[in-house]
This record gives sequence, structure tokens and C-alpha cells, in this order.
Amino acid sequence: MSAQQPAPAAESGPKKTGCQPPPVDLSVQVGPLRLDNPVMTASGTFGYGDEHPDLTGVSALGAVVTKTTTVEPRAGNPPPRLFETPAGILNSIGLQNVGAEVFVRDVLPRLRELGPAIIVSVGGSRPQDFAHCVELIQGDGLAAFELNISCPNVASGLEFSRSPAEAAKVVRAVRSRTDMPLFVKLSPNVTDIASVGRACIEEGADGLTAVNTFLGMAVDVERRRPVLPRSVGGLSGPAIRPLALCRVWELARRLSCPIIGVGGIVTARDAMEFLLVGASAIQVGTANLRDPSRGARLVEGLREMLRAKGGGRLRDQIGTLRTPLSEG
Amino acid sequence: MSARTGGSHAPKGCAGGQISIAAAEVVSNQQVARDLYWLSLALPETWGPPVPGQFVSLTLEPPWEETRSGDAGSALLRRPFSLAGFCKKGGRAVAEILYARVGKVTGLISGLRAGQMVDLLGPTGTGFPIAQDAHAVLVGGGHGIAPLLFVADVIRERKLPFTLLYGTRSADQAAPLDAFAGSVRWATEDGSRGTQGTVIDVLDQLTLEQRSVVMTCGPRAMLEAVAHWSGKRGLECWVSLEEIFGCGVGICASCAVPARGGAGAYERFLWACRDGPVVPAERVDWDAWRPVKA
Repeated sequence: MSAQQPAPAAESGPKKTGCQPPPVDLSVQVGPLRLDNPVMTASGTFGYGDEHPDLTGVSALGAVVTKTTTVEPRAGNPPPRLFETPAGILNSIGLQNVGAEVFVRDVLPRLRELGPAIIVSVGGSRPQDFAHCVELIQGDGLAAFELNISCPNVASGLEFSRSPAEAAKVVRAVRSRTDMPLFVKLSPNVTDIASVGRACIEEGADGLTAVNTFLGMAVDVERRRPVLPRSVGGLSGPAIRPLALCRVWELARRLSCPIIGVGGIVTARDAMEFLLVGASAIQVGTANLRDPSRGARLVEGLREMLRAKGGGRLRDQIGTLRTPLSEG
Repeated sequence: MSARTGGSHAPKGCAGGQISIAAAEVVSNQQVARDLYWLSLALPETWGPPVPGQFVSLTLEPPWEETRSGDAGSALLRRPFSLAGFCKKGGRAVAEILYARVGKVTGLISGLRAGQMVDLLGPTGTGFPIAQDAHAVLVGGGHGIAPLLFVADVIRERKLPFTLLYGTRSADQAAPLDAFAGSVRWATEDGSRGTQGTVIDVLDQLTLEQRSVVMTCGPRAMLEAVAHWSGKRGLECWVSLEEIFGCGVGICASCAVPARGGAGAYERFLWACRDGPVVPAERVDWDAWRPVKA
């Protein structure tokens, strides 16, 4: 179940024998990571990953991405932290977390027992904070780090993801301290997402997670005040799926690195959209809030979808979008 | 059964039975007062069991289908409701919910008819501690009376002493509470039933002779007033918290309530769904939780 193990030998193609369901292989390669399936949790929507394992079915996931950890514990933002919008939510959590020391001591040992690959999301206010956090946490039993350079709900949260040079500084600082696989979570709140992504890859990142939440706002009309404590928050959920998909497609067309697609994914069909445009893996986020077992169910859904097509390897579907021009 | 502190970042099993996602069948759904409804839901007999103070989270949306695009339906998130009662009947578990019709989703719920199905996540959160050797003072405001009815059921079953205080704006907004006729002390702001004023005015009339434990649920300002009243008299007080919930199971950190007495930055906010909803009143930083003045 853990990352970086050799994948099971590719099962043969869509041969049908008797009443046996056709063989299906959901494993994917995401840069240096080999995962049993492409389904991950999105950071911040699934706790640390070990809450209520029987309810979430966490063991079926390809990978768990933890809530973002910073060097020091953080309080997060005052309430209200959440506001429901048409087909989405605005959040302003503000990275409330136990800090790296408690994470390593109390949380990490439990995560190692879960089964799926563990990807630790780390955050910080300065490039050296990211590096220090990774140094404190790295060790056996972890698959990768995801650098959260794109949280819209903390001071300086978006600074690193808004310019290629600033993003590069974070990756450079972290890369100099670890050989572990690094994924960088990009913000969609930029003019040219591919230039930021390219800068990260050039500094040694192994792949990109796209995208974090879109900046959004809601106003309490009666009180003439913003609903959220920092005025703006991050929009997620089905509302952003077409926007996120478009960013992933753009990254896939312009860069050749592995991409983890995230943004409004709820069902296996949604996940297939991201895989077809070129994502090697996907993350389920806001949908976990209604159904904490969403990711596990989505894995099963992908298996069924592939079976219905006659079986085969899911990874053969990745990046196979047929655009009108390429057909012509 | 006591509330865990905000510092426990590792949610353990809740105070009641196993949390599950289950299809629940509407047994009945009746209006009991202005904008107030009573919903009975049937579940498999093995569901729960919940303890008084715990909540369930409902969605009216059918489960997502993997081969279709996933949308929000009428609302993306579930809505949390404290249980107003629970029993086993005819080989099924029956969960009781007293709810106010306040928005779009509760409006849709009010239209449910017997036989229709809802999707229910629970039971979740912490419960009220019920002591064998204390007089329970149960203080409910508005639809916040709901979990205290469940507490009163259990206390009455155990033949323990209790007083039930119920405050609403007016008599037509109050659930009838026939099951507790004779043991309810009413307060209405307009004086249309019981004492004119608030539950605090009724609390001031009480003569408490033995050790008493106060348990309360209702609007934030009422909780603060009851906590303050209890604190002045040195009484143990438990409050049921409400904030905007995201997940209801402690994985999204949305339902933050300012906390007192935590050890560090992480413990400055507790999570109403995970550390509560029922917590000791002294755990809440009431000054910080007060909304910004308009």
C-alpha cells in the first residue's frame, strides 16, 4: 500500500473470460511516487487523516495529504470560518495546526499505520520556515511533502505563489534540505499559472498540485460587513471545478511534469475529467465535508467505470484528451 | 462522557455509539409551534446509540453517483441537529429532531413526509454529563431546548431530580412539551406564557437546595448569561455550542469557538463538532466569541 513500492505487474488488457469481471489496474506513477490508485485527499479537508478510519474508509485511498503543518502551532482565524455559496464554500480556517513538534510526536506514528501513502502538507511565512518544517518532519514512512505556498487565509499566504521568483525561493530552500519527493500546491489566483509551476520544477520540485482555492468574498448585507473575518476567503467545491480543470489542462499542455489535479472533484466522472486533461492523480476536498468516505467511494467508482469499458489500466487514460484541433 | 478539552487534536470515538452514514426513514414530521417542527426518523436497530447532547447531520440529497458529474444539489453541506430524543421501537431505532425552519434547507426538511428518506451522519460530538447525585437544571432557549428534552428523558427514566426551564420570545414559538407538563418553567419575552422576561429571570426565582448542575443550549447570548449566572453561584455549568459546521466530524476545522485555558496557540479555538458541542462553560472565551458590534 505504501508509496514507492513497485506496482503490481500491469494486468493484461480487456480480455473477458467467462463471468470474471475484466481486470482493472488503478495504479499510477506520479513522478517518483507509485500509488495503488490516483485518489488523494486535499489538504485541510480530511484532518490529519486518521480521524474515524472506519467511517472514512481511509485505507482504500491512494494517498492521504495531511492538514498543513507549520513549524510553530497556529491558532487559525476567529469564527465564522465558513460560508456556504452556490455549489461551494468559502473558508477562512487560517492553518490552525498543532505545529511540527507535536505532529511528529503524536500524529505521525498513527499516520504510518493507516496504509495509504502519506503526503505531509507544510506551510510557512518565509522560505526557511518551509525548509525547517520539512527538516523536522522528514523520515521513514512518509511518501512526499506538499508545499502549501497558496493558502489565501493567512498573512503572506499567497505571496509565494504569485510570482515565479518567490515560488522558486521556497522550493530552493526546501530542496537543499531534503531528497524526499516534493509537490508544490499552486494558487489559481495568478495571471500565468504555468510560469509559476515551471519555476518550481526548475528548482527541483517533483510535481505540481493544482489548484488551491480561488479568492472569494461574501458580504452580510444587513450589517454591511464582510462575512469572513479576513474579508476574503478561499472558494472550493463543485463551483470551481471547470476553473480548476482549465488550470490543470493549461499546466499539462505547457509543462511535462506530473500534476495532481484538485478543485471541485466529487465523483469518479469528475476525476476522469482531470485525468483525461493530464493529471496523474487527483484530490478530493470539499466533498469530504458532506461525505467523509467520498475518496474511498470514488476509488470504487473509478474501478467500476474502467470495468464498464472492458477493464485495463487507468494510467493509459491519463492525458488522452482529444481536442478538436488534434482530431483535425 | 465529559467533554474533551480543545487540546486533544486526536479525535477519539465520540461519547455515544459508532458514527455511521445511514439512510433514515421519516416516520413523522409535524409542525409543533410557529416555525418549529418535530421530525422522527427511523434507523436500523443497531444504529448509535447516541447520548443526550450528541447531534446528527442531515442532507436531503441522494448519494452521489460515480458516473455522473457531482453537484451540490439543494445545498452542499449537511445541516447539524442536536437529538431531542432517542428510543428503540418495533425493531428500529428512532431519532427525534426538534428543528426551527430558518432557511432554505430547514424549509425543505419541513416539507418531508412519512416514508421519505434522508441521509444521516452520526451520532457525533460530546454529550451532557448526567450525575447521579445532583439536581439537573436544564435551560433551553428557542429550538435550543431540543437536546435538553433528551437529557430530561434520560434523567426521568433514572428517577433523578431535574428542573426544565424554557425561554422563547412568545408562547406561539414554544414547543408544547406535553411529556413534561407540570415540570417546565416557562419564560417568554412578551409575557404570553410563564414569567415575562428571560430564562435568567426564572433562574433567579429558583431555590436550589442540593448540589445542582446547569446544562444549557440556545442562542449564544443566552448561553453566556446562563454561564455567568452559574459561575456567580459556583455551579457546574455545561453549554451546547453552535457555530457554522462544515463536516461535523472534526476534519475541516470550520466550527471554531474561542477557548479559554488552552496550553498554546493551537488551543485558542476549540471545534464545536469535535470538542463539543457540549463543553464546560468555563472552556469558552465568551468575550472573544461575542460578534463584532455592528
